Amino acid sequence: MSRAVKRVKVAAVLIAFAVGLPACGGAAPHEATYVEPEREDPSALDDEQRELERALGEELARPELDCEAACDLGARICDLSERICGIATRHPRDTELERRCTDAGGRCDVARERIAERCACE
Amino acid sequence: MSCLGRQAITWLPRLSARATVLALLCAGLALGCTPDPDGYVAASAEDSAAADRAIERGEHEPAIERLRAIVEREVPASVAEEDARVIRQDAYDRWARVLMGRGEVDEARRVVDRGLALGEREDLFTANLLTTRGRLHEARGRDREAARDYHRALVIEEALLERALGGSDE
Repeated sequence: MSRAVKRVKVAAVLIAFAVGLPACGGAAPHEATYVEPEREDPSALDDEQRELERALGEELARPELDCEAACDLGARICDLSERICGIATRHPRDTELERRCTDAGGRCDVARERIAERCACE
Repeated sequence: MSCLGRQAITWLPRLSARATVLALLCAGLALGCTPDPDGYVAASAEDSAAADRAIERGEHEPAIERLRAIVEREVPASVAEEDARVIRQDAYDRWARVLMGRGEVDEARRVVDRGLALGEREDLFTANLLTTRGRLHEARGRDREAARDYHRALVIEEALLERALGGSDE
């Protein structure tokens, strides 16, 4: 499921829960008998609503997934990694360059994996 | 972070290096996040577009003139400092690349250093300048320095990638 769809669903559930919360506890509309709703502490409901609103705010504040930018950045990261390793190849006995190449190559691999998890780059 | 800077985080990479500042400036104006009562942003956008056209035609001098105009234009108080920085750094980077293309490595290096002197941030503008400086180091055979600049640019772009991916799920 895409992040955007997931966010919409989470937001919808949270809103529905928050809006519907005060109405909970009553009898179903088709029941013939009336059941006295269990009394709830209004301050507890307020706390719960605040918590839901906070969770909703957090969810909506999360940055959007941007695959186009991610794919471009992934390509740039791996291009820089290749440049670094190209230099290291020219200096086979330079340990600093070797270390940078190893580090950069690892970052390129991680970037590719992270992007592949969420995006389909061309 | 400035409004323009926030916009630049994710959608700048998809734009060509030459077209970045113009798109950014226009988007900033359209989004209403760049008040421009003094016409600074509009004038810079015009210079940027003219530089793009000149570079496409292979006319380096007119391109450099326009890019120089961007970095030398006085920044009015109405423009956020960070917005002015990214506008200028983008121009410095493009200017340096034009010079590098002409083989003027030392002059290009001076231009890049002026750009980086405006401040290094975790953004694409700094990463671009570091990458260009890395290429200039390589052209002069300073391979260790080149690798260092490339690596710094890579780390910045890795952070930008995390933001483009919407942050961590963990």
